[in-house]
Amino acid sequence: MGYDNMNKKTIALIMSVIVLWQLIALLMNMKTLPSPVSVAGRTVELIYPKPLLLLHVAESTKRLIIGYLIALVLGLSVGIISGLEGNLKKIINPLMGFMISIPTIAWVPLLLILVGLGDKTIILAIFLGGFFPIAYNMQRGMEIVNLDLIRAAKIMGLKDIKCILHVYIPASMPSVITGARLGIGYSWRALVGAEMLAATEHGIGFMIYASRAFQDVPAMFLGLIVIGVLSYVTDKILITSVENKTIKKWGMVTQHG
Amino acid sequence: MDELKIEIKNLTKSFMGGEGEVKAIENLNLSIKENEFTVLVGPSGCGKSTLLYMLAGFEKPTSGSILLDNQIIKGPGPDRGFVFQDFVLYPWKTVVRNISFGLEIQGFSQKEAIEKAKQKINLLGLQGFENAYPHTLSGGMKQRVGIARALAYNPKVLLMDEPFGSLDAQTRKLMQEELLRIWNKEKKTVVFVTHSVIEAVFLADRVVVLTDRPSRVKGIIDIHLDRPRDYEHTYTDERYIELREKVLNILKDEVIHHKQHYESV
Ligand SMILES: Nc1ncnc2c1ncn2[C@@H]1O[C@H](COP(=O)(O)OP(=O)(O)O)[C@@H](O)[C@H]1O
Ligand SMILES: [Mg+2]
Repeated sequence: MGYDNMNKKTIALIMSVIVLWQLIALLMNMKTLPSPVSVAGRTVELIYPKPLLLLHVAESTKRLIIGYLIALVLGLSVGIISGLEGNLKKIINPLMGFMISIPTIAWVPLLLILVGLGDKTIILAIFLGGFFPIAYNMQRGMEIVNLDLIRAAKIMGLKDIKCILHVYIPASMPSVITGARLGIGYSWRALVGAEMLAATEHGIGFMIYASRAFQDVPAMFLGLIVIGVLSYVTDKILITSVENKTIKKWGMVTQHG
Repeated sequence: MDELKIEIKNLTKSFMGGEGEVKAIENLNLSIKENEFTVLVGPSGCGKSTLLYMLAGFEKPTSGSILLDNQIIKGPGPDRGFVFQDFVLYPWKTVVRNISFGLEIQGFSQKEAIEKAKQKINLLGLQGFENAYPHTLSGGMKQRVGIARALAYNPKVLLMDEPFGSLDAQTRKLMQEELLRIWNKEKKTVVFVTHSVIEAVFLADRVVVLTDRPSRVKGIIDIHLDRPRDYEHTYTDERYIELREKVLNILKDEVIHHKQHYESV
């Protein structure tokens, strides 16, 4: 089955959902359920003459990228080290298990007191959301590397430290990708929640929350749609592209269908 | 040729498992000469891989010692090459980069390493597959890469753990002939593990039969068959058939209930 064919079907599905939504909105004639047309109208207003929506999107994207990159760098490092060092793993895993079970949004009130309103709190929340799945998956990835891959390198004379770079890390790419993908999802969630509580001016979460005061339901819907689209696009750009260039190309994942 | 290459002295290896101590090898003694083709046969689970892993330096003996060129083996090193049953290629490296990896580790520049790797590509008949990724290759081709990788940095000893064990019978015979052709070109001390007597006698200068666990040397049979060997001639050679019977008879007590298994190619 062709990829194009698949895309056409997806587009057809989205179109039918929009048409159905429009019909329901017309029939019900409710203030609380805006029609696609009114959401589209509101979108235009938020872009022209003042590109407010774009400012929200740009601000959220900037925060996401900063917070997520920190989560990625620290998460992968902690995962690599603890995956190789059993004693460290024994110490940090109970802590990780504890932290991973706390919804990131629950940190935000505390961060507001410790750090205050604004970008720092939001970025910290994004980091907390992304860090744990990334670190945990990297650690697992290191642990399940086929030991013979390491042995094959050692008999050719590769030293321990270089083994990490040349064998352990590429061999655990499937886990890196899984962690990175989960991590970016959690980072997005954390971002939207944190922006509702901690943003002062811009951000998609801020836009949704601020719209409440004006009963601006179309803007809320728009916010939901933008979040969905952005997280889909970031996954495609940051994760799927890397996945295609690495583990898919290397045959490290079985491709069904 | 008569230079002593490997000396295994009173080697014992045991593992601590869930149900206590498992003795895989007990008091095993064996000497291997330079450039000799030695094949180890023995029942499944008797400790063949364990022995080869200790020769490679992947595992340490519990007691006793293994000398390579009169030096105690302390760990893995590039004076040896290893070929695994399930290939163990690097999926993220192309065929040529899998083969050149050992040379890059030795300090050759990437360009030089790839140049040298090309010689092994030719030797193993891998032309045209240089830039393929391992997952796109058949089992036979994968093991050609595995052998080329182990030969690329020119180790003196080649350790092979049932290298053709997961190939179909046809490919397996072909690879056995290929291996002898390569060994004839690049003289190496080969230690080859198999559970196939047919394969063992076809390849070996000496077949070493191991006992069931804990493994010791049960018998050593010299294979004085002419070289070069190929299936067409060696297979019908009466001496070959006799030698096979001889090895089977020594093995038989160890594996009466598994005879058919050991008679497969
Ligand atoms: N790392 C290990 N830990 C515990 N037991 C092991 C280990 N490696 C091998 N053994 C045991 O040692 C015995 C010999 O194994 P192995 O050398 O793989 O046999 P063979 O290669 O002859 O089939 C088996 O009983 C196996 O279960
Ligand atoms: Mg084995």
